[in-house]
Amino acid sequence: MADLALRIRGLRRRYGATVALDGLDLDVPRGVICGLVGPNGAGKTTTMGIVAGLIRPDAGTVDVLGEGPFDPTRHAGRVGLLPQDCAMPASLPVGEVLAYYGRLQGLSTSMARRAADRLLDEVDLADRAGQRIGQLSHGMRRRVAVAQALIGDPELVLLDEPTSGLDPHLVVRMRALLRTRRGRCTIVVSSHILAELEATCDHVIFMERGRCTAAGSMAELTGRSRQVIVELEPGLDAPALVPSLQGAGLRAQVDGTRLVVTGPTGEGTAALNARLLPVLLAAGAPIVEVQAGRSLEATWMASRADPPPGPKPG
Amino acid sequence: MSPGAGPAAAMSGVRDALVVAGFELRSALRTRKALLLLLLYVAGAVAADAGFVHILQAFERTAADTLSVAATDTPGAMTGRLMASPQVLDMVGELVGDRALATQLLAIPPLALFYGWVALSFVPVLVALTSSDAIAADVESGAARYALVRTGRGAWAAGKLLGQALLMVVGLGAGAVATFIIGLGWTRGFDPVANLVWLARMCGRASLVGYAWLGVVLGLSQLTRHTNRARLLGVMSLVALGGGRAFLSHASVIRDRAAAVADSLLPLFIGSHVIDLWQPDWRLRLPAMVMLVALGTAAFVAGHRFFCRRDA
Repeated sequence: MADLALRIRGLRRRYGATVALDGLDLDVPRGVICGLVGPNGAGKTTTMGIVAGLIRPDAGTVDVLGEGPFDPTRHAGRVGLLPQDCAMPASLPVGEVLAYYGRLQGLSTSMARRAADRLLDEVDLADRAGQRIGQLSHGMRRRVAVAQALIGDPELVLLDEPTSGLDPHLVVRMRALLRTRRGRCTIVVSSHILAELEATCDHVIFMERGRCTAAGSMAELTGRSRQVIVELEPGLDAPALVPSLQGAGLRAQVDGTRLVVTGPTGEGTAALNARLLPVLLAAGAPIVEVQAGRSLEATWMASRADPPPGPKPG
Repeated sequence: MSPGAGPAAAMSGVRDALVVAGFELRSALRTRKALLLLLLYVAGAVAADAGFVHILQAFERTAADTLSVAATDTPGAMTGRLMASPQVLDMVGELVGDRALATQLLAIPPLALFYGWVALSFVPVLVALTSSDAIAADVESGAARYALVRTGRGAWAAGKLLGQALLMVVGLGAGAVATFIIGLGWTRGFDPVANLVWLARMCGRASLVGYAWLGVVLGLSQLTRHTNRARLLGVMSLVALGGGRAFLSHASVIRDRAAAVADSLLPLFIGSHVIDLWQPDWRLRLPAMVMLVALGTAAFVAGHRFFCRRDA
């Protein structure tokens, strides 16, 4: 079995008549930044709650960091969580609250203080350390909430909508902050902003109606590693290019003004481009844009075109 | 039991509970609600003490008029001698039905005695007002989730209990300090050392009663994720337990038919043990103290068992 940070099998949970999770199976490899993609009600928040031991599953198994279901003793200091829409204690200064979470994470008082200061610096709130959380704006509170999830350098970090309510420039800063953790820990992040996930994540899981509908590395899922999409000027006879491309050992499909070109398995995008572009240039094809694979949004929309059957109510 | 359980896990749980308790106290002391209620502790003590001093003065004036002697401007001078007289000892002994207890009560400085009575009477109300939503409010707001991903529910809830207990002790202590200042400034013959000792003792006894009620209201606070419901449950517990004890103790319908059953149930009520806290002999006080701690802990643990089984 691959080295997994998270392994979920047959997870079920319902709230009254509403089925939140309907036999969810998913694996998250260690060290990746994994995007959890799904519409409202897909079960993302419930999944994170169950992984963090806050919500009780009706059935199924969860293996966190290879040591069974979440246990606050066994996993002490190893899991960080940014829950969705949860208030932090408003009456105390930011630095003190972060240090408190650091202490619960297992750090000594001085280490927790230092970690809090460092993280506040990373989320651009160093000058607010003495300010009460209740006095901060929504965006600032969100950044403090992200900082608390990272304090103590947990091995698994679960972030539920971390960029919700943030200004665009802060979204970019947040993305940079998460990227600095790549390889140091496993981050599972849910968001509705697919472009954001595409720019941040290297692994993706699509969820729909409480189940996983697709999962894999970003490159695999979007076809980045083996597929190139070429946007051509309108009016060109694109199908005429297909035989030449097949002659170069490539598979090509025409989709309007786009050529979707797939190389042999195992061949990287660079090698594919090295075969493809000379053929196109020799044919004098007017190239507007060359893109490796589809966007995450297009991949997601394509996956939704054939959604799984809904859970049986009742 | 989880594989991680053991002495190290227990130590970690204790450490986490202390961290949570410290944070809870600091956090509570910086909220307007807690400050207001602390003010109530002090204001209640000041108002009651001031009233007591006023009554003492009026009593001494009346006594002075009756005896045709000069009244004192500062109350307490005459009362001190009066309290030491054998006649008063006989009278109080008759009232409480126990001469040893009467001796003990009369040995307590009047103001400290009065503070003790006020604290023991009102600490349940103050606990219900300040602490009944301590857990439910955090669950409702989601603040609990930040902590519960880092520590066990037992350590977190125990830390909340300990933090609220510390808050209560701070409140009782503030009331005692206010009483001491009033005694020092406005009564004659005020013995600072004796008063300090007795005020501290009264604080300790009131804290035990307060702990028992804290256990009840925080146990109830773990049954719901709604702040207002937790507050309502806290207040209802006062009414239900107070009313239940009164019913079992005095209602003729139960006393006439099942007095033995009622008497066997009475020890389960916190109020049944308060009077024993006045006993002069610690061997008589100890069972009451143990029962108060046991009742509070049992109620808290019962609520916690439910909390452990539900979503946070």
